[in-house]
Amino acid sequence: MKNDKFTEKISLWLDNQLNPNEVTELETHLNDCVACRQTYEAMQHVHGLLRSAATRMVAPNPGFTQRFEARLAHPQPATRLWQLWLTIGVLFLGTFFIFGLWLIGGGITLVGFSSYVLDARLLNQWLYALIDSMADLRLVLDLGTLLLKTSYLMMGQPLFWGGVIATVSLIGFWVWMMRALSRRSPSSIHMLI
Amino acid sequence: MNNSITFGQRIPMTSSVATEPTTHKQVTPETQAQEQSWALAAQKGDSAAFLNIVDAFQKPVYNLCYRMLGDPNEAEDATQETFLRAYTKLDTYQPGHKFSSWLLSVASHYCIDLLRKRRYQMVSWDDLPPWRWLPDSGPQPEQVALKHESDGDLHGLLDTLPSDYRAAVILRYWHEMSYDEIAETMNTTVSAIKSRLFRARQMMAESAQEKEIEMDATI
Repeated sequence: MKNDKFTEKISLWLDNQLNPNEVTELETHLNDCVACRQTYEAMQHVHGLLRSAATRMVAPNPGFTQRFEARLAHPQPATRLWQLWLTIGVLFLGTFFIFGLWLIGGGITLVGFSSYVLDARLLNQWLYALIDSMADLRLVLDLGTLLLKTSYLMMGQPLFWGGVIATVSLIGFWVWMMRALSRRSPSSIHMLI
Repeated sequence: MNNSITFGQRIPMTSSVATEPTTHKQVTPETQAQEQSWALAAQKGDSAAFLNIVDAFQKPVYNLCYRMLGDPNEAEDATQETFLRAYTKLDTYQPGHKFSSWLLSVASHYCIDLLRKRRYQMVSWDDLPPWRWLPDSGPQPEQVALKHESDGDLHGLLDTLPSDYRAAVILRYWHEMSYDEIAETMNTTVSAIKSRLFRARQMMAESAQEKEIEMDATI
């Protein structure tokens, strides 16, 4: 605890935050305590590095104000909204792709196909039946059961997983490209145009 | 055993700066009054006044962003974002306070947020596009200087720090802020700033010592 008290004071000393009495007390302690002296020397080394580096400020490339004006004229939220709509579009197309493949296949490509499994034609019939007799609760429950069974079976379908992987990859690539485009330095946009 | 040492080598905060001053450190009452008048005019919708602010403060803001993020492209983006946020939040600036502190507060909070988000990203999206490494129109002198500096120990040491410690160190050394000013800029207390600077120096000192040990072992 005693050492903590003194090492904290070393930091304050480097910032000229100690009064003369505290400085004297710290110097006396540093003469007696090897561990604190090592801490002092290490902190002083870092302090020197930072002091040396801090003598130079870095600046943006020339023309920053003009680039900022250009960005001000084309606010970022519009770009973000555009990205959002595109992402939603890709999500929709991906979903359509998966279920489109399944519907076109009519369910006949499913591995382990049986009468307990919902295929596209059956889905069509059930939907019509459902619309015709919405009051029939049992119909809804049966349809739910069939959907659950189909979902379970879909997990074992290579086509299903192929579609999922393709969709996720497409969405991932699209989001990556949008983010990369939106975060690029305004000064280098012309390289893409 | 003689343990006595000489403390004459201590490097105070205020001595060597005057020999190599930087533009933002020479804040006079006149420049402060000028900042205030620009800020007030910008608050009333004068976009030319805001562009004067951008001209005057791009260097300190960019410097803070670069030291925080360690990458010139990210620093450029963050500087622009800082000025955009400042532009949209101008009504929250209270006249009478130092405008530069308010602006650097916007910049430091934005950079801290970026670094916190980056910590949770397994792969940085921004490192992936290959065109990000292509130069805009040949290497700028400033970027050459940055590259040279980045080869040194400094970035490695700053990288060891949590983002809020790093901001405190940068504001203290590069922007020569007092403890009070840093506390105001970072919306915290003076004792918290004292603690952050102490912990930051301790962490950087330990990191520097580890590097020295590693270098000794390889020789």
